[in-house]
Amino acid sequence: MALLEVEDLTVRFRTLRGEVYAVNGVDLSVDAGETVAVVGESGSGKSVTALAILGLLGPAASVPRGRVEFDGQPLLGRSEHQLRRLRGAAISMIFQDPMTCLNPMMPIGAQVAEVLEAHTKLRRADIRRRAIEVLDEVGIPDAARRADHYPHQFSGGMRQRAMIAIAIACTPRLLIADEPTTALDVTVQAQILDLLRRLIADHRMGLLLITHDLGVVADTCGVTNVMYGGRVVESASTRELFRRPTHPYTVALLRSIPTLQVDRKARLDSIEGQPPVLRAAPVGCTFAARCPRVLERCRTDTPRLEERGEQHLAACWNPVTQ
Amino acid sequence: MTGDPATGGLLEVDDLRVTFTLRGGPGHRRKVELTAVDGVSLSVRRRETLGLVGESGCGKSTLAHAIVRLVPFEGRIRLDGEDVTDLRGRHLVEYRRRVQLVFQDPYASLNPRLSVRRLIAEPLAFARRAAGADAGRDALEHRVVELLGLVGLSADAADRYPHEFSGGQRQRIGLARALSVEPGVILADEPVSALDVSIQAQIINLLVDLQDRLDLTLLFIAHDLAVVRHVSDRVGVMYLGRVVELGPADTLYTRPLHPYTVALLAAVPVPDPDVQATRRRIVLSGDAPSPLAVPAGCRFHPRCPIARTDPCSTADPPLVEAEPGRFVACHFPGELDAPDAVATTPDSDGPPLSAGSSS
Repeated sequence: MALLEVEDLTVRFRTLRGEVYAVNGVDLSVDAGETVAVVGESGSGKSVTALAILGLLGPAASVPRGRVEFDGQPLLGRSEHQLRRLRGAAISMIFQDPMTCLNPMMPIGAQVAEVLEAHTKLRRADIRRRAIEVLDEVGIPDAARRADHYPHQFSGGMRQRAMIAIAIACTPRLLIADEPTTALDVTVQAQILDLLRRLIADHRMGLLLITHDLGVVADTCGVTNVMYGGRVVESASTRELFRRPTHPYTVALLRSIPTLQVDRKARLDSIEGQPPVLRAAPVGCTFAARCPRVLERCRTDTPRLEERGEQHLAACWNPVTQ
Repeated sequence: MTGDPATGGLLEVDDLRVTFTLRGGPGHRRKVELTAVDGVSLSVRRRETLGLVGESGCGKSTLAHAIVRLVPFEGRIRLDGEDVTDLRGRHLVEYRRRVQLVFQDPYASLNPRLSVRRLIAEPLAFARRAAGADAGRDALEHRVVELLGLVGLSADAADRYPHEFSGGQRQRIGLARALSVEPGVILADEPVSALDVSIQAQIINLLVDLQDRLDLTLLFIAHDLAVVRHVSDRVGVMYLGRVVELGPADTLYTRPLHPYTVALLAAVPVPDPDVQATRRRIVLSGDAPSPLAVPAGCRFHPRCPIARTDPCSTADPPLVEAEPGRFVACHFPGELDAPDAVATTPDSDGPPLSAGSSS
């Protein structure tokens, strides 16, 4: 039994221009101590999937179908009160932009203490001590002094460390990180990825990492799920996925990334066309309109995730074989 | 080969310095000088692409703004041998026609209330009138359609508005606008960093094609080292307002000389799990210092894995030609091994190799 199991998750948004079919039947699982990536481009439904797991979707969203289980207990349909006891305690989330998530009017230490007050029975003096301990654990130098500083006195990398401190203060069993390093410079990104890796190993947390960056995926994740048009189109161990991608979207995506090791001014493979905006329930494969291997049935029948190798699933009627 | 990075190009920047005055302290009465670009010299050769990389706050965008004379600066700028530093009036207008800026965010740089036709025709009509050329409706319309075709958009895009387009298409519109006045030089400031990878590849390829067809000279500014690798003939690396390394793209990426370039390359995760697992890790501690508090000596020394007290913390190394065509500002160039030359320490969060202070 995995720590987190998501099955057939479906999310729609009501908008002024009708319903948007953001997530259309997503399956995922994360084990304790495992790092699982959800990778996809803007609008693929990856962030909405994360928010749906935590029950953080706004009032415009509805979840008509699906099952989300954490540690064997269903999460969907729980009351706000029950979810609040879980969030920040057993399941935590880290967002992209620490500046908009931290309270600018509150010292960093107090923001860590707030989580501890809500979820533990620690006494006041112990809370302060634990908050400093956590700030120290995430690599904030001189934590006892920095705990009294405000977010604007921190650099971007230090703010992201503070966000991580808040997220892990109660040693959650599952961490969901939505583009945790996208706003950071590469040298700082390397520091934060190292930190996440160490925390996962030390505490045997499960990590669901949502990102658009395949380099970050290759660096940190054991298992990778590729999303397109609100569906997981391919899922495999990261090694297997990069070595033997079978879904034409995964293949095209891997080819389109610029890399450091190229001949001078090499031409990039691009994917022609635009990702879909799903204003109706998708019929057939959502990638069919841009797919170089498209068949007649791709436009009418929705492919299901099927076994393509050991622990390797792909949803495609005409997969690439090597 | 001359030993001066500021010569031999179509566009030459000589010892350029941009200083902003900030106000701080109680009642905002204290004035603070922030030097965003601190003595940059470089030249962009005819029809080449010079890539400029660096992290946020290194001054790369400010440099581009100074080149098109949008911010006051010290130093000299030459275009095709002519000093353009003090141009005014219609001469400045003509200079700005020849050197066009393409912005990062096509959502913010296109007026949402203008149709694509007007967005492209406006700079075109202005430039034509300034040059005394035909700025009549038919001539403009003909050129707008031609430009849309050039950037891969259909002619019916002319009647639509920016919000009807996706990010990649908007960047095409931005390019059509810049190209409308037939510039010789394009300064592209993070032109693809707001785009998804599959779309990013389309725009990069378009840019390279256009450069070939129109004989453009390109200054390509980006924080993404891999993107810069794909478009550039030569690359400059900026750190805290300075160019710390400048050279041909091939050798700069395979055999970097400045320890900052080495660390920057090592920090980019390679999209290949096997390679990534065995790469040597050089994790710099801390963030780049604020340009308000530039370290003494070499400005990189507090984060540098190979810094020595003397001379690194005392003497500021100038940008010198270390090998033919390769410039570097470092007391010990080439002493820190390149990240992919050695494959050790797969251990992820081992002790960082660097000593420096953290902010």
